[in-house]
Amino acid sequence: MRWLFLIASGVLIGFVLHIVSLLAVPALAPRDAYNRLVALGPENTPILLDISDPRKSLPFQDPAFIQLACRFNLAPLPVRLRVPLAGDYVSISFHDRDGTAFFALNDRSALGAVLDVEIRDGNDEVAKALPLGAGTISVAAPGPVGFALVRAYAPWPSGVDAVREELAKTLCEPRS
Amino acid sequence: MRLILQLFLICALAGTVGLGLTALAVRHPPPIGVIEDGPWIAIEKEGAPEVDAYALAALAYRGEAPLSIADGLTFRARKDEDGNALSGSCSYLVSGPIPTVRVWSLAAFDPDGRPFANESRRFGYSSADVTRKEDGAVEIAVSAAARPGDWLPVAKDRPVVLVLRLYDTTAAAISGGRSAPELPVIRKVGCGR
Repeated sequence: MRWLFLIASGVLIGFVLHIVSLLAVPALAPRDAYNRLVALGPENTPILLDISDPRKSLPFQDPAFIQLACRFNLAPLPVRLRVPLAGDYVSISFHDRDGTAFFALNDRSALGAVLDVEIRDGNDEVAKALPLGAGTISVAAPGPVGFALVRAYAPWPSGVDAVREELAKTLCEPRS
Repeated sequence: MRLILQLFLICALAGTVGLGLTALAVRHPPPIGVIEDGPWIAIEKEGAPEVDAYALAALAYRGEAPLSIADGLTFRARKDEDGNALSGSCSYLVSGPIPTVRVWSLAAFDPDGRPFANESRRFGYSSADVTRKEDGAVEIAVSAAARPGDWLPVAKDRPVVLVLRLYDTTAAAISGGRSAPELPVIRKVGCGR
């Protein structure tokens, strides 16, 4: 009876430990998407990913798209992202530090030939009150740190080089 | 002395159960809120702010960034139509209609998410570069050895993960009243040489 109690309490504490450790995985995983991008370049800078090199791309990255990442840090200032509409389909997804996709938009939201976005910290009242340029879309992030992923459709093989060259003109920089 | 031994037992048991379950869950997350068609599985809320803890932990473990729910849907297949694991030592035919969306892509990866290196740099097919039959269906061979027609090369003897992404759409928009959209079938053609 006593042993049964011991085993039952061990299993029960085990379940609690499972929940706690599971919730900690996104914050502690050493090779999650954010940490892989840290290895590829500094924050608030566009990083063009390369599907043919696993060290310069993310796992399971779609080869039909040229992709560009921008790790943003909104603590000093909001971050401006200007993406040229390269190819037939362009989208930007926004992720917080643990990888959760909190927002996305695509070329249908663009007014001209660029998708012009300013990422602001949704908890920063001062940043939220800043004036917004005409044609710029404001995106509220749940925290100051995260990353944006830009995807431009590039059918193989004809579209790849042209789309890549065009997407390389993307700007990702602190608001000036 | 006996108390210490019992405490030790509880801790060891709790650690094994707790961390063991977590290690298992990040590799094989339980199917919470999935959309299934044959071997194709998508986690509906994977790219949403309210993603469940299991899906998020599995993504972080793999190092993958999810496709946002506003950007589209990600279907993965690790098995063929008969339920056998996809392997580079066999050849497959992915055939059938694909839902009408702006852009879709089909790509093959190893279990770590790396594309299979090949001479023609063909890592996948997509809506603009696939060959369609008269009825709009596709027919893509997935195998290590070269095939005529649309051929997606994989590595011999490596497990294969097929990923089908449907862009600028939602599950509800393309399922036509069913619980999941109708996706191509993955049929094994043969194994070995």
